[in-house]
This record gives sequence, C-alpha cells and structure tokens, in this order.
Amino acid sequence: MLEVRKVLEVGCYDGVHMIGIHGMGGVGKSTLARAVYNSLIAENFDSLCFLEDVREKSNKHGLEHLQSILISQVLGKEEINLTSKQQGISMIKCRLKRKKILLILDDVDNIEQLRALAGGCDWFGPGSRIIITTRDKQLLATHQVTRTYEVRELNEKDALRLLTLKAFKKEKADPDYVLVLNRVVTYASGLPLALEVIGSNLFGKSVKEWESATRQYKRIPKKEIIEILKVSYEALEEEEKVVFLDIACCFKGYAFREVEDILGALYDDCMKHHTGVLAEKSLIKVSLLSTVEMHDLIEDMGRKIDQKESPNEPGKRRRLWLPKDIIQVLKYNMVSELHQSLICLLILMQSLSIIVHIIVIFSGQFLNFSVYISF
Amino acid sequence: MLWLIRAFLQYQGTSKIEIMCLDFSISENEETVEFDENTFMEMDNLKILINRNVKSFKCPNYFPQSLKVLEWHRYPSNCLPSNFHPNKLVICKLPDSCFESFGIHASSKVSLKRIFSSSCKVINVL
Repeated sequence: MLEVRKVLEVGCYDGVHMIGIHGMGGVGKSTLARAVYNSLIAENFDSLCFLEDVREKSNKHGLEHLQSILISQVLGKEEINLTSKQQGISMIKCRLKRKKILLILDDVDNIEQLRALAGGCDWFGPGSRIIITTRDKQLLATHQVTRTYEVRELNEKDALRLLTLKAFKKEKADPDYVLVLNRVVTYASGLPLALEVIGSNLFGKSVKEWESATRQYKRIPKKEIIEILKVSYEALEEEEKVVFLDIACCFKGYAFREVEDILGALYDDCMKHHTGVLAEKSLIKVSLLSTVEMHDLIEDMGRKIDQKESPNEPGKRRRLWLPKDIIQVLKYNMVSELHQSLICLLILMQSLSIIVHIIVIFSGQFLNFSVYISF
Repeated sequence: MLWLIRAFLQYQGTSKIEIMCLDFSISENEETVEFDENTFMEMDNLKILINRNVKSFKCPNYFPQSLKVLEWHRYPSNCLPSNFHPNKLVICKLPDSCFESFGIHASSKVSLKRIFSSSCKVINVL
C-alpha cells in the first residue's frame, strides 16, 4: 500500500493524476483500492467517491446511473436524472472542474466506462486523484494512464500467514498442521481470494480432514481458481448448496433482509443458519450497506454449476435467470398449445388402436381365426 | 405409443422451475420478452417470481397456486388473476403499479407478511 501511495503522490497539489491498479481476478485489487481509499479519507480532498463494480453496474443500470452517483456524491446533492451519457459527461466536466476529489473506479473492463466517468485529467480540479482497478492492463494504456501498479500474487510466506489467519483465526497454527498447511498454500497459487475461501472452509477441521481436502485440491489441473473455489461448495450440505446457488444466480446485490425474507419463504427459519454458514465459509459477504455480495469469481462458479443442471433445456431447471433462457422458455410455452393439441391427437390415436385391437380379437374369435395380427 | 405421449409430456414440462428472476441488464433489455397470458400456466411449481425491469403489456391471467413470493415492478393490472388464491403468498411487492386489491378470492388464510406497493393508494387486504 505504501508503494501505491508513492505512485499517488498525495502531497502534490499540482495537476491531476490517474493511477491504474491491475492484476488477475481474486488477487486483491479492490481490497487494495479500498484500503488506499480508507487511508486517504483524512487527506485534504473536497470530496470522495468510491464507485464499486463499475463493470457490473454499468451493464445493469447504464453508465448514466454511475455518472449521476458520481455527481451527486461529489456535490452532496440528491440523485440527478441524466437523460444521456453525453449530458452526464458535460455535467461532470462543468460541475467537478474546480473540485479536488478522490475517485475510485473499481473493476473497469471497457474503455467506454472510463470515457464516461473520467474522460480526461482536465475534468477535475488540481490535486485530484483517480484510481482505476482493472484486470485489463491494455485498457489503462489505451486511456493513457501511465502510472500503474500491478498487484501480484502473495509470496509463500504471506500466503501462509493469510491462510493461517483464516483457518485458525489466529497468527500461529498448531504444529501438527504445519505440513498440511504448506501443501495447501501451494494449491492456492498466492491468490488471497482462494486462500480465504480454502481457509474458511477448513476452519475447525482436524488434520485428517485437511489431508483429505488436500487430495481434492491436488486433483485440480492447472490450479484453476474456479475449481479450487468449487471444493468449498462441494463441502456444503445439500440445502446450503441450493441456497448458495439461489443467491449466486438471482439475489446477489439484494439487501440482506430482502434475501432472508424471500428465501425464508422457501426454507423457513433454517435460512438464517444457511446464510450464516455461507458467510463463515467466505462464499458470501454482507456489505457495509447491508447488501449480499460475493466475489464475481465465486458468482461465476455458482452460475456455471446451475447451468449444468439441464444444459439444453432451461425449462427443466430449478431457477431461471439468464435472459436468453427465459426468452427460450417463454417462447416455448407459447408453442406448447400446439403440443397440447398434438397430445390430444395422440391420445385419440391410442384409443382408436385399442378399439381396433378389440375388434380384431372379437372378430378373430367369431371367425375362428387362430392367429391375428397384433398391433 | 404410450411412451411417445409420455415423452411429449415430459418434454414440454416447465414444472421444475421454482425461481424465475427477470432482472435484465440494459443491453439485454432490448430483446423483447413477450408474456403470453398463459405464460405461467405450466409452471405449477413456481415459488418465487421476480420481474424487476421487463416491461409487459399483457397481464398474466394465471399464477400458479404454489407462488410464495411475487415481486413485479410496474405490474400491468390493478388486480391479480381472478382464479389465483394467494394462500401461500408470503411476500407481494408490486411497486409503481396500479394494483389495488387482491380481489374477492383472497381467503382469510392469507399468510402475507409483507406487502409493498409504492404508488398504490389503498390496498384492500380483507
């Protein structure tokens, strides 16, 4: 973090700096940005704004929505209705030109997002700092962000510390576990997210259970993080799995109370226990705003598992959430009236064939045929 | 012959669906989703139906009796389908709609815990 602060040159009052933080998913970019943000709150900025999940939010609500959050937070006004992205851009340029702000754009994946939210250094007042986190280093270069910082995987020593902290909730582990801890660390390949999820999954488990988990991790080729996360999912009870998938597919970002209410209608009071277990295993998190959040790699994992349930016939799944599946099912339901008439026809034919059968049997007996043709 | 009928019945089944969540992103929303009046006719196991941002002009005339959670933003009618008995309904949220009442079928067994309907003036719950 000290390195990032150096890149930031907070003390300097001239000019506006854009700083890019890049690195792979689950390596801790957002966590770092959050820590920097928290450490800078006390500094002398006119206003601060942390835009979370730019990628997801701009997909869902549009860039205008994010622009209006930015403007209203900086100016301390209620949300402004923007009619277009262009209007948003000119409004940011005009209203924020004299403000010294600290702006964090978290998880950006498209140049359009940068152009709409922080198109140039001249948009903001002198001394402003804009921090951008992304998985795509190229994106920063395209936007001419030259000050960049790469978040790397943890080295073995730090990884071991993090794992110990998550698995034992203290700094030092029982000596019996040292061997198995070292083995697990190699499977997480220094990714804090993986270490956290593995550690939480093995919290309070015996050395034997640790060893059996290591065998599972060992089987994963190329140490793919999604597969590593999946081991924690497999360790859940049946109903916990179902609740986890419900949240991953449908209710991420919903208010925690709301999720409890909705799923409570399905699973009664066990619901509280289930969400508790999921939080303990670091699969879900309740944010400061009391919404249910999960890391997008964990979300991806859940959604992939759900898709596998009935890959070709979405109508046979338990949950429908993917627009293309919903469209398919709804279209399909419309033609099902045709199916119904087909079924009627089939039933009619079936009963006809039975009648013919009976006639043949009777006529066979009547005419004393010894053999009749069977249908 | 019988297996053919059975195959047909199974093929068309959407009765496994328990949760349906329409919360599309902006780019996806351009695709038209057409609700038929009878869309939910065959989903007889549907428990949670959430429609946050898909506009529909037609109003469904059937909801499965299994429905426990109904959230439908801009619900296009002022009442639920007349043949729907909301006995199992626990949560009913119909924000920004002209929804007025549960109709004559709402029995005294209604187990509703939460009802929200921002722009509704009066909701007659028995």
